[in-house]
Amino acid sequence: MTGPEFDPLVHRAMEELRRLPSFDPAAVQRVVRAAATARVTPADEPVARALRARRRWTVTIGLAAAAAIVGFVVGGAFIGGRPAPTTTSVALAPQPAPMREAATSAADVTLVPQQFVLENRAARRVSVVGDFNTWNPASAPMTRSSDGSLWSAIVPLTPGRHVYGFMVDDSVFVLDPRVSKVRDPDLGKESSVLIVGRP
Amino acid sequence: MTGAALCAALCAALSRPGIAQRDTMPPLVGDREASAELAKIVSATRDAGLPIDPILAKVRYGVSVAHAPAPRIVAAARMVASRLETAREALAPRPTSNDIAVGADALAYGATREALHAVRAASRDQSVATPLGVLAQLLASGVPAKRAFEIVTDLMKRGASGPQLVALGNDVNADVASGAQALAALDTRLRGLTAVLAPGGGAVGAGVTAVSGPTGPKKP
Repeated sequence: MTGPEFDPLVHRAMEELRRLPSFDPAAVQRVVRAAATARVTPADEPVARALRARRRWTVTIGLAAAAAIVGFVVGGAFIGGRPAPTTTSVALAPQPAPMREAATSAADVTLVPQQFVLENRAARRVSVVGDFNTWNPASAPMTRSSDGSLWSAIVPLTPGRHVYGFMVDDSVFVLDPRVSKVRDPDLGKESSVLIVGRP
Repeated sequence: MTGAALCAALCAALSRPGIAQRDTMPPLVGDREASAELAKIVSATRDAGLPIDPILAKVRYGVSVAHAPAPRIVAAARMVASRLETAREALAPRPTSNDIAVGADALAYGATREALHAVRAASRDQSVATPLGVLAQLLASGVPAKRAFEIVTDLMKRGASGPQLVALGNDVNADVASGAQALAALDTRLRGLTAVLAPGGGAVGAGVTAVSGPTGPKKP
C-alpha cells in the first residue's frame, strides 16, 4: 500500500496545504472598521433602490408561486397524483347535467343538442334520465307545453350511442314510445336507445 | 334496500374534489359489503385514468331503474370497469374518454377487442364514438358480431359520414323493433346507403348479395 495516509512525506505535505495563511492584524482591523462605518452615499442611492426593488419582487413572486401551488392542490386540480380531467359542463337549469367523463381531444367535446319529448298529461313532473346524466332525475327536468300535454327538454349529448328513458313523478320509469328500445346487457331492463352523430 | 348501500359507496368514492361536484348520489343505507366493493371498483377505475361515469351510470341505473339486487349491481359495475380497460387498450394510442365509454358499450353487446381495434384503424384518427355506437346498436339489434363489424368498417373505409352511419343504426333498430329480422333489416337499409357511397369493400356488397339470394343483384 502506498496511499497518502501511510506515506509520512505526503502526509506532511497535506498538513502544510491545510494550514491557513497568516493574516496581517492591522489589515483585518482596517477592513472591519470600514465595514462598520459604511453608509450609502447619494451617488449610491439608485443602486440601493434597485436592489430593494429586486428584493420586493423576489418576495412577491415567491408568495404568488406559493399561493398558486396551494390553490392548485386544495382546489382539486390534482387528483391522485394525476392531473384531473377537464370537464365539459352543460348548464341545464336548475342543475348542471354531468355529462360523460372529460374529453381528451377537441373532437370529443362536440355536443349535439337533442330534444326529448314525452306526451303525458297526467304527470306532475318529468325528467330525462340516461347514461349521459348517470340516470340522475335532477339533471334534466322537462318543461310542460302550454297546453299541458307534452313535456320536453333539450339535452346536449356526446356522439355515440345513448340509452335513456323518462322518470315520471320521480318514481315511474317510462320508455320513449317514439324510438326503439334495447335491453341492458348487464341488468336486463329495457331502455330507449338513440345514436348521436356529429353534425 | 339494496340500492341504498351502493349509492352510499359511490358518495364515499366520489368524495374527492372535482368529482363529487359532478354527481351526487342520494344518501342511502344498507349493504355495507356491496358498498365497499363498489367504492373500490370506482376508485381503482379512477386511479387507472379511466372514465368512471359509465360505472356511476350503471349503478344508478341498477338502483333506480332496474331495481336490481346489490350483488348484481356490483357485478355489473365490475364488468363495466373491465370493459373500459379493454376498450382503452383496443382503441390505443389516444382514445378519448367518450371513445372508451362507447367502446366499452360495444364490448358489452359482443364486439371483440379486435373489432374495436379495426374500427380505430379505419377511423383515420377521427373520433370513433359514432361508428362504435352504431356497431353497438347493430349488435344490440341482433346482427351477428362479425357481420356488424365488417359492415361498419367497410362503410367507414368507403367514406360514409357520421350522419349516414347514425341513420343506418337507428333505422335498423327501428325495423327490428317493428318486427323485422336484424340481418334483413340491415341489408335492406344498406342498399339505400351503398347507393350513394363510392364502390368499395366486399362486406357491404356481400351482404346485399347474400340476402337477395340467387335472384338478387350479382356480386361485383
